[in-house]
Amino acid sequence: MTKFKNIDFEKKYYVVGINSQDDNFIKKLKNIGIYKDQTIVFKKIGNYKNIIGIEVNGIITVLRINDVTKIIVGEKK
Amino acid sequence: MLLVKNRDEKLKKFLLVGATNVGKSTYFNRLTWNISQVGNIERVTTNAVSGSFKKDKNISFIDLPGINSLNYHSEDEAVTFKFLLEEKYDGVINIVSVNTLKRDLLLTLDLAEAGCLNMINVNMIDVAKEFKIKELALVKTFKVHVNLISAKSTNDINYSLVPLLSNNLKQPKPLIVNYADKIEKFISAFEKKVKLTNKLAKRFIVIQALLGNQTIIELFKKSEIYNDFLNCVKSFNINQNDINDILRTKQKFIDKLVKEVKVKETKTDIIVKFERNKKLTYWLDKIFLNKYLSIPLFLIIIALIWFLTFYEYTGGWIQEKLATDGLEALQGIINDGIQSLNNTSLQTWWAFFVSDGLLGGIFTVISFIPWILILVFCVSLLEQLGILSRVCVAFDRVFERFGLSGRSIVNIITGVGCNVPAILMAKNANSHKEKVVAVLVSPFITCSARVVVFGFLSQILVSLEWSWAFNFAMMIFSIVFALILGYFFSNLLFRKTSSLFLTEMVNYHKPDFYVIIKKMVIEVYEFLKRVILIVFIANFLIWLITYLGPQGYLDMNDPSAIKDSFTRYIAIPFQIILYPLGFGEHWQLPISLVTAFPAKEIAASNIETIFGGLEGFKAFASQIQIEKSTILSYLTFFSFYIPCLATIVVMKKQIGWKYTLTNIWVGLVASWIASFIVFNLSGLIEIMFINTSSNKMGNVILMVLAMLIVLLLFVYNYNWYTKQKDLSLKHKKQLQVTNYLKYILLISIIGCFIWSDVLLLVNY
Repeated sequence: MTKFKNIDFEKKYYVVGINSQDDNFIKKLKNIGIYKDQTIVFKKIGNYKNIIGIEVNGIITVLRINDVTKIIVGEKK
Repeated sequence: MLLVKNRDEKLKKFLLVGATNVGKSTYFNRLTWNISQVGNIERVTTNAVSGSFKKDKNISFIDLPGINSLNYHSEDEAVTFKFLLEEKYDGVINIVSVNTLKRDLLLTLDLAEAGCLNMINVNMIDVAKEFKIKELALVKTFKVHVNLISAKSTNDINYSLVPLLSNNLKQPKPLIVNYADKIEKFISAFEKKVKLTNKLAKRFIVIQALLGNQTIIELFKKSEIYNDFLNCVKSFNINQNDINDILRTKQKFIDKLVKEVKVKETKTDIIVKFERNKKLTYWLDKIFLNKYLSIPLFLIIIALIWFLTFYEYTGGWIQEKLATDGLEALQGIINDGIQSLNNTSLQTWWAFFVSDGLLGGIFTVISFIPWILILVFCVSLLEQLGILSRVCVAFDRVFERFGLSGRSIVNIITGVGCNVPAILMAKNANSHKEKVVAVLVSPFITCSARVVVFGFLSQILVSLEWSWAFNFAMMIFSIVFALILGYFFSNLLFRKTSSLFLTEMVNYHKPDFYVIIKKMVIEVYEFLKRVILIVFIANFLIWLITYLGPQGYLDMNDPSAIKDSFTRYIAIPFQIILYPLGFGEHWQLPISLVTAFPAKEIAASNIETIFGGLEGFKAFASQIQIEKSTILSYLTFFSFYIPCLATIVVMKKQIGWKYTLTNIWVGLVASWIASFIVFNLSGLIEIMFINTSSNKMGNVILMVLAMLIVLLLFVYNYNWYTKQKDLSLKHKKQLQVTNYLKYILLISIIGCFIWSDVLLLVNY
């Protein structure tokens, strides 16, 4: 498992799980392709610190950092 | 935006289905005479829009909201799935984008599994510079027609329709994807029990039920096989991992397919150009995604739009020319024709009826068309460029504090054209809370109908040169007002839930001017329809009750006779309510607000009918010494007091009567308070800098003190919300009580002001 502080942008990670009880949030993530074992890449969005982009299937989706920390990721084997 | 109405069986209907922001609406707009909302941001289309094919009226196309997979997750996506499941249609055209092929093919796979895929159009082929698309790989996999198109090119569209027009569309067979053994066994065991009479394959329906598709689950419950389904799931021991495995199998299928379809190009001149475009995107992002530059830049862009629309040598000049050289001249010719009649009494009656009742108001409103055209052009351009998704990111920090997400800025921009599509767009919000709050605040955004009234009346307050700046300030004021009410609604209705920000970072696009011009034409057509139907009737009624009284017909040549008209009596209760706002004293202004309820433009046409135009209003204002603060207060109240009839109908459809009525009463109370503050504050400025003899000095001082108290309360309130995260439930409840007390205190202070003005009213 990788702690969020140590995340490298532009590096491939795989999704280990979603740490949230909010069904709506989990559904929304599933809809953009973020679910278990899916490969994702974190992207820096401008000079924002509270906003992070996640690239899945070639599409960058922007989320607040509070929500991004709920996505547990592991390093790509 | 037209909803699907035509259910004629003889018509051939083709559905346009695709993921979000792949260009379905652009394709639809080229194919049909109708227009579907287009914007370079995801989830612009929120309802099914139908249109007849330009070349054959017996063929219609239906543009459906974007959906990433048939296992939908939002309300607008549900529209698409239910359409595929329940409606009758002759074929499905799947649009995918070259840029997002990997995501879009997931939906293609779902459609193929469902057995309803007839054709694939790979769109934006003009931007596929660094790779080639091998359509044969797609044909081989899905066994349907595949076209490589650019939805902006008419030739490509005509070419893509050849199989459709030659009745050469293949009857699709469901595609079979092999899942894990356990799943396959489950499907073959349960498939036989599904007895639904729709187009979609039973195997696909079972897979969707496993994935948790709400519509399918509801269908199972209705056909009483839901318990069997649950038992079957239990007996086969299917768990979340197995369900995730379905998604993984689909993803692997697509990954393999994409490798075959997308082939990297060797370095050519085209790729060099593509890399240059990438650099341009990089630099544009440096500007528009800079947290310090983004918001000021966006405000400058909006100010520029307002400048172009209203400045005396741009939009203002065109409006002036149309009003004086065109419409006034035409009205003069008509009046001369009437005056040539011999009968004097008939001549007077006809002249008044045609000049004031029939044409006066309508011509005033028609003269605003140049403003609407410029505004729609600029806003559409902004929507299509791709800047909006960047602006959403910038505004999220601000909007989060008010219980909304950055995506709400899209509603605001759309609301400038008309509040109705802005409310429809709120359907795609990320949570129920955000949807309701976005719908509730959308009607407070200054729409084009209100903009024209501001443009008209601002000429009394400021010189023509600065009219654009005044209108821009009113627009910003409406956004601030909507945000404050958004904060209020969030805390009143959804205290425990927070907003969710999730938006797609789209590529910058060149605007499609064909769509923009089509949209401008349709906007003017809708405006004229409104003017002719509603403004005409409302205007005529106003004219009638202005020249009729309990004693019968009034002398139309005597302006003082109006005081005995029915209008004067109808206005009395509204005058009492609006008296503390400064403009209740004169019956003409409250009555123009009451009758503007069906469509806001009526307020301008009423002023034309009652006062005989802007000049007449100016003369009236100087005669009875109406202060500028009174007109400012009137415009503030007009801006927010109640949504127009069409907006209320759409709002009720989206969020129900409970929330719609909440919006109306909160809007009325808040606009009253805002107008009261504006009246007294601008009165204070008038006293300090213009006129020291006003008798409202005491009121104004109290008002400033109250505003300071309110400000302190809001600061305290904000601190309370930031602290509450670390508190126990008991303490939170105690603090909630304190919070209620603060609101009671706030209401009491406002009540004191109302009382002070009631005393003034009694004296009057």
